[in-house]
Amino acid sequence: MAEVSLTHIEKRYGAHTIIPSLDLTIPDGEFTVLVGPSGCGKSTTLQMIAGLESISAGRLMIGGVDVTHLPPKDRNISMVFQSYALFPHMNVRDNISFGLKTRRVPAAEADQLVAVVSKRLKLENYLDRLPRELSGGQRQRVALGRALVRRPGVFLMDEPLSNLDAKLRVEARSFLSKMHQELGITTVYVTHDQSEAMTMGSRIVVMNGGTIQQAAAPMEVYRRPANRFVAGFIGSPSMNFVDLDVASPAELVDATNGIRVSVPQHRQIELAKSGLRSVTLGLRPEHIRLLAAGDTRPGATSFKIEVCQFLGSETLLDITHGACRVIARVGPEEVVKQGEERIFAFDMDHAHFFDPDTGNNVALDR
Amino acid sequence: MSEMLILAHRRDVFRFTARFLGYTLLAVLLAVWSGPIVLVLITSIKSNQDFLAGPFSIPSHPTFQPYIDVWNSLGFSGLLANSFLYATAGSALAVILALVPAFALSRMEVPGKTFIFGLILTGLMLPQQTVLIPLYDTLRTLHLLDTKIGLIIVHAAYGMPAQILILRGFMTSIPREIEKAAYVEGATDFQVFYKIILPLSLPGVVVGFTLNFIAIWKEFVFGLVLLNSEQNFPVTVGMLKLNSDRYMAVFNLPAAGLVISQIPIIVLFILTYRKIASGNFAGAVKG
Amino acid sequence: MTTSPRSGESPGFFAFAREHTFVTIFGILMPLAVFAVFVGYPILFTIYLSLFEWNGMTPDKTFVGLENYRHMIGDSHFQIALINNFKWLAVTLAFPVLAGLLIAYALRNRILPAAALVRTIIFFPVTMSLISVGLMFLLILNPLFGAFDTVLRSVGLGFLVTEWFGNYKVAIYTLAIVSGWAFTGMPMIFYYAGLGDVPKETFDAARIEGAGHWRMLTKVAIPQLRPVTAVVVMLTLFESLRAFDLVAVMTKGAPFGYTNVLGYIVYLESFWNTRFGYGAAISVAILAVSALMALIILKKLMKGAFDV
Repeated sequence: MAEVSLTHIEKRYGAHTIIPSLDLTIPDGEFTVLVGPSGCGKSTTLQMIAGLESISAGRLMIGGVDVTHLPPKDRNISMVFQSYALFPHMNVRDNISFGLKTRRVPAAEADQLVAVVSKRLKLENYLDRLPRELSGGQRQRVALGRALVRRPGVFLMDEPLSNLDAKLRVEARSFLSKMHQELGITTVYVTHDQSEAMTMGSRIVVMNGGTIQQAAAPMEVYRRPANRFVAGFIGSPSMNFVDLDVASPAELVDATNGIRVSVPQHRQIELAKSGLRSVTLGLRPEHIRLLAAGDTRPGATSFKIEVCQFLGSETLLDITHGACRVIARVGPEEVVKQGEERIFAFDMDHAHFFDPDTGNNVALDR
Repeated sequence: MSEMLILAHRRDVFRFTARFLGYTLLAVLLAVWSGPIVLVLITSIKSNQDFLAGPFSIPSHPTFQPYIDVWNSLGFSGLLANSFLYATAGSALAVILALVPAFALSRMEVPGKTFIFGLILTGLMLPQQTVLIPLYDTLRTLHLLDTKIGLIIVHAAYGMPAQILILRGFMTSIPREIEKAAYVEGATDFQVFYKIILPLSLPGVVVGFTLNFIAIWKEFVFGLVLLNSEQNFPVTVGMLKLNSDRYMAVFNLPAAGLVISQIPIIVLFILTYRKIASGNFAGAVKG
Repeated sequence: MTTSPRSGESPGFFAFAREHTFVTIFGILMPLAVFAVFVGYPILFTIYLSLFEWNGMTPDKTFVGLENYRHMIGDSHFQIALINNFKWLAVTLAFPVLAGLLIAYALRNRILPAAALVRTIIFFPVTMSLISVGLMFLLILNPLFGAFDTVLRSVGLGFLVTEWFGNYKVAIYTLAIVSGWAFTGMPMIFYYAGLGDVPKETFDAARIEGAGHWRMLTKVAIPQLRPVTAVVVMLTLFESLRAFDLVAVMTKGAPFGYTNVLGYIVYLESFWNTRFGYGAAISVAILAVSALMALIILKKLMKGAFDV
């Protein structure tokens, strides 16, 4: 059993408190991704779980054992670092077996474990090479091998794919996912890349400023972001935000730019309940629809196309109406031109309303 | 058009003058810094008559007799052996003593780090004369006066601060993540030190050892004060005898002595020059 | 590692010691012990001894209070030696440090060719024992057989010739310059390395703005070399305070004590005149002078230069 639970974890550096109070439970066997911008505290949290950073206050349990004050080697963990941190003066075999040797695993058993792991990672032919003789992808596999060979209760990974080029990264992602499926080891994975988080985790934990903004399954985070930060961070291109006044629960208005947005009936209740006078409307690019010319349904507005980005599988349009500027996503078959005036509508069924002061998603506010 | 030619001509003249000045400066520098040494070399193979003929005279019959004479009369075999012992043992001991402190100071949050640094700097900066008397007294009480071991210990103790700084400089360039990985893999402090940091610090150890070796070889004051018997003298103290009327009348013998005393250093220098002169040890400067 | 290597908090000493026993014993306590025995105790004992009269052999010492210091201040030999130390320091700061800097700059900027050769030749004397250097220059500056005088005369500078060691006004400078000759390689190597770390773009930017070498040296190089200069000056300082070897081999204080330096008279008073108490007092004076100078240097040059 290797569940990881953080209770009221606090991290202070002298007078600075960088993580005020963190609560998180990672069930046994789950692949959890900590994601957020630089400085949000994700790496620090991982280092605290590993025991490489001290915990100022709070309690950390791994596999039911209180490890808050234990050194890394007693925590039943393994870690893969961003730079792989291979020992440059040891060959692949010694790198992988290092953890076994320090734990005095008998040589015969150690050799066997190393053989199994190196076979799975396709490193059998490289066991006598030094790290500097290996490619980036191979080095990463050695780092994985070192972490795997001890069969830890928890796997910690600190941006392990950042140093790979784009193509290798995609391959490595699916490799890691497959490996997790086969082995089922609890994994805590840190990345700043939101698309990586979306594709890899069974649960994402979005962090900002030392606090957890939202912890949920990827699709949940995507479809029901808890606040404006999460909404803007997850998804690429990021969500569009438009500040509007609440003329009535049925209508949102931007008088300066001449925008009127009608709110569908089933969404009016949450607006009314919130009692907000103004609201930030969040809409993903794919929810701004391109209409046929002359479509005059309620909500259809004319926008000018400033920039077209033809990606082949889709087209991204930078559109403006007055000072309001948003990005829309349209299908590749649409014929569009820079400078054109076309009709667009907001798909209000998928709209999000955010409190302009707190940033919270109105729909989730109780 | 003609203006451009004039400009081009001026540029060429400028370049030529610059290069000429550069080479002149080079010649001056080489003369000043190698002249004396070349002179000594030439003098060391002169016979007595040649020497009297003048400082710049070319020896008519170059001879190695001065070398043989000074070797025997000064007992160079003993002197060289002693210096070699002091330099090797003293350096090695200083490096060994400095390794763990350098490790601690380069990679750990040691409480009172600044204070310890201050102390090390003080040890480094101490003029030898201020400790001469107490040192003499201490060694005498321990019956280590005029012993080889005593001198080695003294050299090691005073070489240690510099070694700590040099080794620390090298160790800080080892990436932190390697050490973290080792801790996660279950290594203790000692294992991290011994299996990871130490092997990766070998270039620093070589540089440090070489510098310390040269420093001890050159050293004079401690050898002079803390030793009495000729059999214990290092080369520097033994050579003091050369500044006497007997030797200075005809300088070829002292010259030969100089050359002999310098040869081991030259050999060491050749072996390790690349590591030192490329400024690797300046890593200790940046810390 | 709860008090982990990089936790950012400074844990209490005993917590640290418990967690990192190996490092504490061999990395902190052991050097501290060495320091106590070889630096701390000697300094304290020297200060203590300076208040006594002692011949170094019999166990009894006579307490004389500050008498040694009173005598010291009035002692003409001491006064000359003190001034000599400052003269020595001035020469060593002016000659080898400046020359080292200029040569390093000239090498880096290809004003001087054959960089490797120049560096080797200038650094070589640093490896020579000062005894050797001393003997060497005794030969060269010898009034009868010396090459230097011959060279001066042959380029028409014969009027400069004097008794380099006999002329009491000049002798100390002779020694200091000889020491500088041997020492120049040290600052040169440090500055050469330091210049290698100065980003080339800063020089390029200056060159585009029309700066010549002098301006580049003073406005671009030197400011960025502050940390190096701090170390070089410190090294020079303490080298000059050790100015013992050359005096011992070349002049032994002659003529008439005009080439005495503080370090040498400590030796003379203690081991020749067996006045260890007085020697200790002079040692204390050296300590005071070096501490003072170190503090001044630390204040002026070290602002942020030493990243601890």
